[in-house]
Amino acid sequence: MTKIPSLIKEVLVNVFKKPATHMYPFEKPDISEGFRGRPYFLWERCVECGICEYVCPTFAIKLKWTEGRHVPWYDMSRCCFCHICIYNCPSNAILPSKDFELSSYTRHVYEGLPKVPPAPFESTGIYKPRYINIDYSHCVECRLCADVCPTNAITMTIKDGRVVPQYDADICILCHKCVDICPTEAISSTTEFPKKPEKIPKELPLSPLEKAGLIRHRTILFDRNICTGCTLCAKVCPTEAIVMKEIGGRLQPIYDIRKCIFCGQCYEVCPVNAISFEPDLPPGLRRKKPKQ
Amino acid sequence: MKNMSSLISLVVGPQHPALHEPERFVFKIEGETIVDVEPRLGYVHRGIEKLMETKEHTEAIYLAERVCGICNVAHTLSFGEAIEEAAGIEVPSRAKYLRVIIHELNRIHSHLLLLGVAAELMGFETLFMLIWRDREIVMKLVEDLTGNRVISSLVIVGGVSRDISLELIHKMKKHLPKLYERVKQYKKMMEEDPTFTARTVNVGYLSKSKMLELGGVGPTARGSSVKMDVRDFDPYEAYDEIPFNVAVYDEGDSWARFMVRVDEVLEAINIILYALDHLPQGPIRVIPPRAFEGEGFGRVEAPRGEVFHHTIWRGESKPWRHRIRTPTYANIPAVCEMFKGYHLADAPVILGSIDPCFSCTDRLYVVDAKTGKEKVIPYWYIRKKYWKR
Amino acid sequence: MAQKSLSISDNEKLVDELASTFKDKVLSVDWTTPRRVYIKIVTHAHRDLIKWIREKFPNSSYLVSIDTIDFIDKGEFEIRYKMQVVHNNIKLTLTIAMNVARDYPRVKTITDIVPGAVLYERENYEMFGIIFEEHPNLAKFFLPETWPEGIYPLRKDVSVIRKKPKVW
Repeated sequence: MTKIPSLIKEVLVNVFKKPATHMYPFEKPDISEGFRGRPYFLWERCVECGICEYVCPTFAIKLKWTEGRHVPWYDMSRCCFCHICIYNCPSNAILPSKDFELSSYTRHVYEGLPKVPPAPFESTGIYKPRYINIDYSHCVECRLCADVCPTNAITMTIKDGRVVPQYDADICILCHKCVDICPTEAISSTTEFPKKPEKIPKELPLSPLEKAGLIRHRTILFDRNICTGCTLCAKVCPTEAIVMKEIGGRLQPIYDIRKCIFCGQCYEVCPVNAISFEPDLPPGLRRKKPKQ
Repeated sequence: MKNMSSLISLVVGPQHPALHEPERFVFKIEGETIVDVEPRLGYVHRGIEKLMETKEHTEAIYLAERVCGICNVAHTLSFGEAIEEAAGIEVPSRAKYLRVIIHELNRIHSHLLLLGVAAELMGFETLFMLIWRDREIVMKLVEDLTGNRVISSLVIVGGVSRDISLELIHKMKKHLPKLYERVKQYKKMMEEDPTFTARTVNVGYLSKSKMLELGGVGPTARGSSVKMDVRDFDPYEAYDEIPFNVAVYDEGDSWARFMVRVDEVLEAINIILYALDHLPQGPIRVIPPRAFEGEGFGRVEAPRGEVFHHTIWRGESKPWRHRIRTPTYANIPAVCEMFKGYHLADAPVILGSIDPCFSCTDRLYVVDAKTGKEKVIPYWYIRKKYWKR
Repeated sequence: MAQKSLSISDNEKLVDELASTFKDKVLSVDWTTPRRVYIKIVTHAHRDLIKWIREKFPNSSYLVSIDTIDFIDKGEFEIRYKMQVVHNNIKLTLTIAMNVARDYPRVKTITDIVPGAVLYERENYEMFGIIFEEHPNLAKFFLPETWPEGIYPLRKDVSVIRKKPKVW
């Protein structure tokens, strides 16, 4: 045999080297600086923007209303330690760490602090709106708020004999366009988020126009015997509250109360005067008991 | 009497010491020679393509990452490319170079893992341990760069999540040439030493035309003189600016497939050193939109072959269809052809030479359901039918 | 040393030749990038095109995959065949797409031209219910054998996922 096969040389060299095993529990682990361990949440820096909740891929972070403000609650059993919340937090309220020895017998060790610190903007007196309040005793049902809302968080609905807006807090982005445009200032924003947010209260007060004795036109009636199906009313309606549909062999108008703004164009344009205004909703939708 | 079938069916079942992941091969053997083989997969089927239709892209990239643990960078990279093409956004060039660096580091670690595992399948545990000790250098570099040894969530839609510091660049430039020398030693050993060559040369031969007919991809195909590499004919990220060689061998047996991988490790180290020298300055990410309309096709060269993700979006914030094709799936008809005519004792070596990753292959649909809907399969129904077997 | 042969000057010539050979079958040709082309053809004309490509480049082309997309609002499946050609100056990915009616999805197989398509057709059969005629072994591949018949998981009207995510 002329030369030593390369493998045997390799083996001989390695016989005299230190073993490569790292005796972990008896020696300290060798972790590098950027290791992705458990994130720590500093609630005194959180500005409640909700970005961490949006980007977390496993829904491990949730903003909950606790003791007067929103704070992020972190569930470690769902976290996948990707640190994407840390990269995106605008106020550095989440800190990375190198902890990975995280077993415990109880779960509550990792859930939230016992005391909630105040938010950083409160010490400087800045007002942070969190919820929109609608005061139904001032609402005149003009429907402008539903028109201007960019995400359709405010939609019109029929309740207690009135056509009123309802508010959905999940989609609202607090742009305050409805607050600006309401002609009677019935809409305002508050810093308190209610415990059980509801879209519309159970009982509505009387409309201010009714209290003053003024008539508020609430519906439009079509006299179907006179209507010729000329479709002019559907063409001039600016909010498409009137739509023509084929019923019983001829075209008839279908009317949606929630979109109508009572501009009066259909009344003006109808050639046979088949349209009339009524001061109350159709019988099935009227208020159940008269209010004093 | 001799013509009566003396075929025996041997089941190398889901649980077997020679296999690392569950799959079932039914070999029909005559004497000691394999005549036919029938595969059966689907033991780690998780329902990923259907789940992708219910997730927005900020969360779906982490699901795509966990399709395969070892080649996770390839899956996030092709997912990111597909979404970026569908949304029509452009990634900054510093992010492209960083993506190339982590992609090549992932390739080195995966090939060294396979070479060690292949040595172990042949019973050669010394070589297995030596190669895995050198692999620790790469794992430490990946941990410094991304924060974790294996699952590196460095690639996100629109760029990269972390930046590289100057000390890390110096550290890489110090350690990678040492690894280069070690791998060259291993290459010499694999070419000359009979302990390795006696079990891999002329074992599992497949010709070039048959390989193209059956659709093999990756180092499996490049071992049979098929010169195709996605970084070469369809360059993505920064590969159109970085020069490199494509490793091709003509022998067509298992030895050639292993040598292709050793050459690729050497090339990958050169690519990383080039990219570290030419790293441009600038931002590392852009913010992608949330809902858009379009189609995207992202295709990368994973360590095992060609991976593609194809997404179709129709204006909502969730995709209409997301299709994933992994390389081991394309190599299965080729490996079934490779078994025929060889001894049963060669079967683990042949299977190991295509680098099987069955958790990549079984990525399709869900087996969990709730009652109440018309078309939903009740969970108790499946359980009852299954357990009765 | 560096093989940066990015020349793709013959890509368009190949596609023009393909379109003119099968004038009556090709509906539209669409280039998304200089290396990827998307060709739409009439139903059941896929065998001729794939055979033409395989015969023209027997040693430098392969089938990449077969996908299906469920367009339930239009009432059809779209089946796509992806082929890759890498020759001297040609580096092209062709996507050949055709529409099949949703209530009668029967398509001819291509396993005699490309034997590697066996697994792709089996997967599309078990997930979408598309029957490939004359396939050597059209059986389930990933789903267990006790899966109920007639339920194809990837179709849009089949929901196998819990309706509301668990929130706590």
